[in-house]
Amino acid sequence: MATRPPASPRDELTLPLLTASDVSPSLFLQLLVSGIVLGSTYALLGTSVSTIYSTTKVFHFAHAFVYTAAAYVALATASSLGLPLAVAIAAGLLVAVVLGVGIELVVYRPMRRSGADSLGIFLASLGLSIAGPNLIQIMFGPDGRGFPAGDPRLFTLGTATFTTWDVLTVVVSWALIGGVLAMRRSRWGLASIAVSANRELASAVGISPQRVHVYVFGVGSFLVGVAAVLFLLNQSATPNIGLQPVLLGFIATFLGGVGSQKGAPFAGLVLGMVVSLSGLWLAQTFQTAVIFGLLFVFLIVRPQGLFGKIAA
Amino acid sequence: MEPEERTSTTARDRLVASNLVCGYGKRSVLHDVSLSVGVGEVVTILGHNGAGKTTVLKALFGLVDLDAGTVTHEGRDISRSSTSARVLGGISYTPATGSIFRDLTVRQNLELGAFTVRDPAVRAERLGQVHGLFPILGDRGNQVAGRLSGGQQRLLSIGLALMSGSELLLLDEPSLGIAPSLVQELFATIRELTRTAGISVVLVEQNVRAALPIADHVYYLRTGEILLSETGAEAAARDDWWELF
Repeated sequence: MATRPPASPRDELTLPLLTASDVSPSLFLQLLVSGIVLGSTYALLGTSVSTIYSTTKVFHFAHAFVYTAAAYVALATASSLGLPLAVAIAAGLLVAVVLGVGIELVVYRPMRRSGADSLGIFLASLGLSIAGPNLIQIMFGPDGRGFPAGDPRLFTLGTATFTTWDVLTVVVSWALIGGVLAMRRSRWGLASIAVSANRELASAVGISPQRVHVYVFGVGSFLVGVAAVLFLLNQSATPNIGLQPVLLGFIATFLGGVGSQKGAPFAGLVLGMVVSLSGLWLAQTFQTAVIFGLLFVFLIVRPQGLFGKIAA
Repeated sequence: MEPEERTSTTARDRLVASNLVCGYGKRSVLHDVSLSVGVGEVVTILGHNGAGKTTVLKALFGLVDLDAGTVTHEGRDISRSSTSARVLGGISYTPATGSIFRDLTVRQNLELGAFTVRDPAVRAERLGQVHGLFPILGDRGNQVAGRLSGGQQRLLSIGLALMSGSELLLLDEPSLGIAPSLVQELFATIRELTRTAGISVVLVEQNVRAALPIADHVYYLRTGEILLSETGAEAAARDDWWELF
């Protein structure tokens, strides 16, 4: 996030809303650029969560474990084994897909077969999202670990600055989001829309919902793995890095509207921009309050989200 | 088809259901249902609300597990087959409501209908056939299915079933949600399909007057049992059906 002017009156909590003329243009530009980077990350997370949620209707909180595991495997491959960065990233992504699909096959599917309801599956998922990171903490310790990615180049755009990693984050995120949207026209993409829209009819035309679940868990887990790797470029990993991104993914999904694949990335971008630009008036510590405030307002005013439809 | 033929020749029977018993959990719905459907035949099941008409279709399609009885398709026992196996075998089920993917385009709906068909050439050929039968579906290919009229949505739902290569359509209340003036036309279309393509249809209907003229055979269902079966001609000759409901 942007460095803010020191000793500015707005850092004190007794702030009256400032008028537009008080806003410094250079701060605005920097927050805008940061907002695009942050929003791209949220958009990727939202796409990842909504890919899984809109078809399976599973509150897949264990996604947090998948995120953390991908980050740690990439880290361990690069720093402990000393393998090239590309190999480390590939290993992290592979583990994300295997773990995500594995959770569906080994945990969710048997639970569904034995008649567990969505609350039961959610609780199992929540359990995994706590137990998994604990396991990682036992194996790697609680301290932050950084990725040996080297120092990025710094760019300036007017008064705003950004790094190679920021550019990479934006480009990779939107390339993947575009890819997922394009894949909706593929055989399995259409099948996953069919299952999400009308499960009974999907079975009636011979689509196996089980196989579609494997597909969406695979795609969603790959995306969250990429998000984890991108996170590592800028920040160091701790065992509990996973929860916040997954929460943000869910918030973007619900703000965008469940069932609308374009909704989650769009809402993610808007969310990132709003959070960043709120820095014009609010201290950075208010970010979380802004996110949940936005969610709160939406749940009351427009519970179906930006692009969602009210169920008939 | 002559009514006398159906009792004597079982070789022409595409689907035979014998003594079906099934229900949902502890609630028993069908007690003893037997019926047979010949090649190119339209078989209509009539009955009041809650008689179990939809459950008969679901049992034939494998959406409800049988407690007793057998379903034989083209001479093979499919009583325990999965629905996707039945789709591959040439059976399709079109529910009364939610029979299309409303948010997808007409074209995408038809593509999904052929989901089990691996060969793109076969898919393209089927699409051509369906467009030939229902030109409106070709014209409206890029339109979102939910925006079609009620009648067009019905045609699409039948097109979806045909795309899977189905030779036995299980249609639940196809007249539901269609303007009354179009119902006759729809049933004429269904009849035409069976005559030209040798497709068999099991039809569940509330709209007795529209459904009877195209029926080869009629089964009357009351509280989960077949009360009576007769030919379509016999049924159409009746003055009223109230004694049977």
